[in-house]
Amino acid sequence: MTATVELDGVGKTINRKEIIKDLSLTINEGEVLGLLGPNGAGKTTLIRMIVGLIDITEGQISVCGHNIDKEHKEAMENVGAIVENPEMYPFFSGQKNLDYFRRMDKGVTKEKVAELVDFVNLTDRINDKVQDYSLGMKQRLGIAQALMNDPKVLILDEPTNGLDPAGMQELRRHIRMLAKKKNVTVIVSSHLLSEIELMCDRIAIIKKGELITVENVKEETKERYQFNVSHPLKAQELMETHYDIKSQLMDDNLVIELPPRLDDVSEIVKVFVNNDIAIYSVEPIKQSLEDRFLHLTAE
Amino acid sequence: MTQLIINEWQKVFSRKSNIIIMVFIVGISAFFSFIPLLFNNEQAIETNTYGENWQSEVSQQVQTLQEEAETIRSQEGELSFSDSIIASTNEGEVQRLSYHLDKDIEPPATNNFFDNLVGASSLNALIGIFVTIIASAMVSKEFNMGTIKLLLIRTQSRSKILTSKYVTTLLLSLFYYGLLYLSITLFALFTTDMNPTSEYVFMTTEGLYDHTSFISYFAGLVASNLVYLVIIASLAFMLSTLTRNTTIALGGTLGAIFLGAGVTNFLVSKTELAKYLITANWSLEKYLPGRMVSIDGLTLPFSIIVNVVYVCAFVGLSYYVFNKQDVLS
Repeated sequence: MTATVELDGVGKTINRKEIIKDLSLTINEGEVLGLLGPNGAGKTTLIRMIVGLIDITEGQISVCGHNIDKEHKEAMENVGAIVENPEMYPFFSGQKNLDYFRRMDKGVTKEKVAELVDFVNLTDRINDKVQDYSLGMKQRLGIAQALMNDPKVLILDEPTNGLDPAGMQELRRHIRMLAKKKNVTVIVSSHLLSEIELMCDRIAIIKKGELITVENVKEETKERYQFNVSHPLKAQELMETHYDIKSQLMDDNLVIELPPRLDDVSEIVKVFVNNDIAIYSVEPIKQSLEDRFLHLTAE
Repeated sequence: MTQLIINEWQKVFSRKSNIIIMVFIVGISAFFSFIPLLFNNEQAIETNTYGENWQSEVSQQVQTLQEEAETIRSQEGELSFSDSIIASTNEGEVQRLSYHLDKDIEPPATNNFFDNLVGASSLNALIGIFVTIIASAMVSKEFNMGTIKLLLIRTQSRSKILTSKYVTTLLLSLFYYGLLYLSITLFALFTTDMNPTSEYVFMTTEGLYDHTSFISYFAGLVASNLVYLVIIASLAFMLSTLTRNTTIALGGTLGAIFLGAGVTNFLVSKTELAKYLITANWSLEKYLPGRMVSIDGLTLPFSIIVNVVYVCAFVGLSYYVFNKQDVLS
């Protein structure tokens, strides 16, 4: 796995206010990374720094080995992006907009543009003016624009904005396809986990300009069970002395994290029953990424 | 770079304001050319073109005018208003025609081609306003629409993007000016009489007559008009880049255009430093033959240097800020 986007101790200060603080992150080829954070966390600022729209106050960013500051041209040759909103010239048709950007990049053919229009399903409406497009259509036109130079790194800021469920599913499919088949690195930002959870390999959670954690989406979380028993204290002691299992008491319920060596709930039930502890209920506690996100970004 | 300029050009030509401006330029040219025909019938007939023997015709005319004026002047008592107008008009005509006779230059018709072209340069102020409208939106509009991001995340450097915009602004100024003179010339071919010689006779600010070759006079006029447009365009372009606000850029430039002369004249009476103001120098028409320079210490080379320094400063500042500033819109 080769790293395509490297952020090294990146910081941004605007008017003496630290918008991004000492943020380091490496994103690999063919990986889909989600940038997750509440509104105002600094996601868009970070994205603007990666594409060189704003100066980096501290640290450095490189794309495919090219420093974004010193080798902007070389770095941008590998990047396609939508920053914030998919703004296009409203008085041009979709086709004219794409032709406009085609002229800005060397070596993009008309056939390539036609192919992209087909790819984002805009063939029927491509000759209509962009001002008559829905937000979803603008979003798709933006994606076509971003893919024009066959980028190694695709950056999509809030790409799910304005997409209907079908459009979202399609976007998800496109992104997975680009990452797996063409080995494109994709960075998507969102303030809603549910919208990007399914398309990302990893999710970086940002809060107040700081990188809180990077989580693997596929990572198995430890299973936890909640036991409602007649003698919680006794049960807790039992677990600790006999099986060396730490458990917590929560509202008279016993919460147990299952260790690998004792992964069968029935085992514990048996122990309780043998020790005359009545069991009223056993419930698995599921903590989704959503809960963790809320927990991590809570004030 | 050519591709970038094509892009910019396409954007300007898809704007409604550009279409309105072009229609307006052609319309105002037509108005300018046809209006003398509507209101000046009498005089146009009176002094028409001359035949082959123009010297004797003109001498005859001079004599008639002179006699008419003398009769009026010799009247007893106070002259009536219309009489005094006729008398002084006749005397003026006598002076002009005598100059023509003196220098052996056949006089043109009253409504002649050269005067029409020279007179049309007063419409350059209007072109200046149109150029301001386009130039003030050139950079700021991209920021307003948010499209600036799409331009800057490509492989083109910021300087190149700005250059394409500046070049387009200048080309457009030239285009508007060309359109003005193309339509003026076309209309004038129908509405005016062609001048019999290539000499252009004009009245100086002292009230005397002088002549020069029309080509060189007109070339000087066009050059000064274009210099003015370049300065206006650069000023509006700079304000648009610095403030990223079309309204401020438009208002600032129009303010300089309309208040410039007044403020300059006021400051000239206070300090000698006023001659370094761009508004004192941006019109070079005052250096045309027969015109007068009203501010002490101004010469053509001085004005050219001041203008070049200002334009370089405007453009330089635009590049510096455009390359440096964060794009947050």
